[in-house]
Amino acid sequence: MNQSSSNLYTMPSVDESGKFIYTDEELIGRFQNGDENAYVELVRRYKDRLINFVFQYVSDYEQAEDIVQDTMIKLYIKKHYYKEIAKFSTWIYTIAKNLANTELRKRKRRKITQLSHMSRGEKQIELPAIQPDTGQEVQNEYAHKLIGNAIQQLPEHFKTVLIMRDIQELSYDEISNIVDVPLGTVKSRINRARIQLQSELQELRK
Amino acid sequence: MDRYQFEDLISDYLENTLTLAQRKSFENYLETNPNAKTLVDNMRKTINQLNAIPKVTTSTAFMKNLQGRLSAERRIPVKPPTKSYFGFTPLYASVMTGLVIAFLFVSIELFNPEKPNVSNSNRTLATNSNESFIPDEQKPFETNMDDFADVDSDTLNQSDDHNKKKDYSKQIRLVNDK
Repeated sequence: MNQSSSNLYTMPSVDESGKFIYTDEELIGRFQNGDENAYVELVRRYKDRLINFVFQYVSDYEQAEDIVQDTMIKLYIKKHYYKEIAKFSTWIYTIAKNLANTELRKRKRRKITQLSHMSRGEKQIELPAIQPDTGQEVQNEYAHKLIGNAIQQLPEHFKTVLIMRDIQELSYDEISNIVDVPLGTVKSRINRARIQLQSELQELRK
Repeated sequence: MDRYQFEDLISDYLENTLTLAQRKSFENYLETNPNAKTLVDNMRKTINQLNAIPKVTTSTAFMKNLQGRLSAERRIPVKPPTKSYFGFTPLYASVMTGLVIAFLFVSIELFNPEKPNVSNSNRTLATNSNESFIPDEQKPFETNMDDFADVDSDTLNQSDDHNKKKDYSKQIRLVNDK
């Protein structure tokens, strides 16, 4: 890495028109053949996209960053597991999503263990601490927390596309490429996810 | 437009991708269904709130930390990839081959019709064992081998002279013969 870090900022990633010189698939191909600069370029392309995505899953910045780092380490160690039959973005997002889900499962288990050690009177249900009758900023924060909780209730395939579309603001085409599902299915999933999110929010507001 | 058609078109309506005719039909449905209008309004509001969620980026120390972790990973000796034959490691492949050969060998031994039949030998054993276990009084009759001696010799002679032409003229006596 030290050797590659010296070349870290010398590898041109975009041409004069601002387009990427190499596609993701070309970069991973180069990395598989031993070019570590290609790895660094992939990390730079995906680190912010992934942390945005993972953060919506785990709602904790430090944990989200750790998960993105784990994803990049996996990319480094298991580079040969990538086969060009799938898009690189699909592969890397799947790794990140699986790691985030593992973290959520761990957290759930920890919570259950803690609750099982509490007496009945001590058990409390976690609710957003901020009430919606204060300032605008605080209200927004409350709304975001509420929406975040509602998103957690959605099924996996709805949650993924909803985050990509409405939080990351990716195009339908990009989402279709990333999740490797036809465009029509993506549109339909997003629509169903939005409808279900409304009913989840109604439940939470009760 | 029914409820299902309405729900299918909500996102297209909000993202302004409906045709003029579809949009008119959708808005007519909204006018006649206040609940549907509330749903669309709430959904629009939620989408705006989702879009307003601040985007997070990785910290400035991200690349440095990653480099540190990668250096640590590099120090762990990497196992050389083992060869595999049809998905089996060499050890399992040889064990599997041995098992397959053994299975084929046993199958051939059991079902080859040209070799001495196992079922015949079993039958002989069974007959012998039956004989020894049946008490004498229950046996249907005693077999005296002398009774069969003449028959056996005749049979033997017949078989010996099988190809000889036999003359039965002196032995045949008709009804009117004296």
